[in-house]
Amino acid sequence: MEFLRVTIDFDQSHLFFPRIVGWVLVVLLCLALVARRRELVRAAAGLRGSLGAAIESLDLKTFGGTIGLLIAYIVVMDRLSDVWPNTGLSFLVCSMVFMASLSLLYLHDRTRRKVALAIVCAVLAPFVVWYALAKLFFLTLP
Amino acid sequence: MELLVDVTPLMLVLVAFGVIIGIVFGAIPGMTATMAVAVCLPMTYGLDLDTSLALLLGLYVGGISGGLVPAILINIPGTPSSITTTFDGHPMAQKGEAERALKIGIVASLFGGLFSALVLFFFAPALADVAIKFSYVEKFLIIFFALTIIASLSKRLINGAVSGVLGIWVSLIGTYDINNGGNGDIRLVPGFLEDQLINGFSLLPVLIGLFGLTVILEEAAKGVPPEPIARFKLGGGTPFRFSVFKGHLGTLTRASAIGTFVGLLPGIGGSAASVLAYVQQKNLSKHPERLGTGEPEGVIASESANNGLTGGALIPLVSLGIPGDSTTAVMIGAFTLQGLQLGPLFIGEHLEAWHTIMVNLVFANIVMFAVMFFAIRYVVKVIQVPKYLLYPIILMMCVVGAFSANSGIMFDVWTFFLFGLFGYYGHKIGLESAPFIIGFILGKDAEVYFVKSIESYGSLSIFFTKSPIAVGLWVLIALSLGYAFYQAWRNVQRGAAEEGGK
Repeated sequence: MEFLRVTIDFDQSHLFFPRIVGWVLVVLLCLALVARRRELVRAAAGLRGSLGAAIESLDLKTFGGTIGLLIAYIVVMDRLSDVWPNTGLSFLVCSMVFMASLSLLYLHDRTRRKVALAIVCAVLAPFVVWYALAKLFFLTLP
Repeated sequence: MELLVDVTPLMLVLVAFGVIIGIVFGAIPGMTATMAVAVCLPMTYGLDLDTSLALLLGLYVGGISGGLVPAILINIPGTPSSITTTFDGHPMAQKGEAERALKIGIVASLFGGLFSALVLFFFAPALADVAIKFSYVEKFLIIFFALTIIASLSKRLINGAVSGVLGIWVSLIGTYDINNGGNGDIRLVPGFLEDQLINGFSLLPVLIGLFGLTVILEEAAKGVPPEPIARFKLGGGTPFRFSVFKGHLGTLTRASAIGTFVGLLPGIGGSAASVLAYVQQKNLSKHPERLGTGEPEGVIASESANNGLTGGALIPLVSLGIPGDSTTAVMIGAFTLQGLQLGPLFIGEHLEAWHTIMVNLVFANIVMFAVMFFAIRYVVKVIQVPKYLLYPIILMMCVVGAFSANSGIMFDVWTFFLFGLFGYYGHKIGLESAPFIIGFILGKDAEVYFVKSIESYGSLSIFFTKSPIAVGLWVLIALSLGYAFYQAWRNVQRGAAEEGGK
């Protein structure tokens, strides 16, 4: 069983397991490509059609809006937390604006009643969470 | 009575609260028990372990149980595990027996939940007693075995394997920890992120991103379709009577046992449990032709199996530190927060927490039954909760959960965002979240056990020759891989036959 002997150099031991896992991953990815070659060839042949269908079925406004609002929420909350440090106020204010905007984005028919409900919810929910986490549990909020 | 000593009124209140919130998540199609636990994790930051567990177990049981409501009423499973409930539950509703079908499902869920809790109570300590004798070699093999099972029971073998190994690889990002016998050097991290990723990606933001944001992004990509317009009538038809279970004790027990067993296997979702139980019921039924047309026994089999999953999935979690499904994987996050290590020593060293788990699991099932059985008329309204109100709240909870996971680090919020996107696009190319997250959770332990085994014995042969347990584990690994290849081969044959047919 000499061929199974392995010595690990301690200085390089942090790379020993990641290298094995990396190689296993590469082999599995190659196997996945081979196993799905037919689908891939088919997909490549009909690329224009399937890509077009995928984009058509994607609701770009809602999807892009969600990602855009989320990025803006995180960035602005981070900046404002320097203005109001250790109070959680940045979280409170930004969450209200974020939730109201997201609700309006997800609302299909913007009747006055539904918009009002969305705004009330956008004000109340962050307040309850802020009060519970920051005031009752003393957690750090941005 | 010893079990009840550590129970406090707050725990009972939190279990009930968790069950109700869990039912809401379970009953809304697209939202799952895993999401409920992930989103509500920040609520546990200010609680101790026992009260956190009370809340999380309530969410788990409620989340799994709530799925039957839309499955029966609108033919859409609320959670993947209630897929087979639609087969007979919805036809019953169409015949005007919606309330009867719901109540049959609720009672079956209670039976499944309590059955699996009983198995958990007796089996987990026994398994832990065996596992305590494991050395690094056997511990590594157990993880290897868990990963082969995850891959073999994935939707596609190769996708499950890639997802699991990718999860391990991502878990290795950061420092090779000196506390685990490592050399303290950093790996797999680009230079400009060394400060942020010195300890790798934090578990909780990864979980919240994968199971919270991914779902919302998938819904957003579809334009957040409005909640289904209810066209169901609860009352009328044959009223519910407990006598419907007469002659079905075998069905209840068999399906619960199947659910518990599937729960035991790591990374397997509830859909596998209920599908297996339903197929088995069809094989053994006196009237198999009636199943699928609105037979109570179909609902009984499906619902007792998916609740049987709850106790089953907790067995490997408590005794081996290996999560049985994606929801229990998220629960590991709560234990990590409290600085507790799950594994063979857990029950012995944290008897109080073990008792809390048991009492709260039983209590959660009873509360679930009480809420759903007696207030079913109100529970059904949950499926009409507007998504334009719910999703923003969930996203806000996700962000605050990720931020507070390590006492306020904004990089964790970006981690949440990154893994949410990764989950969304990963699903598009066939990657699966459950194998990925289990690989991510077990990856670092696998490294320590593997490297330490080789450092101690200097040869790979030790993995085959260490002990009879190691040999037994190799047999299980071989069986699991054999099953996986057999399934993959059958799928290829089926695909070829279908193509030939065209």
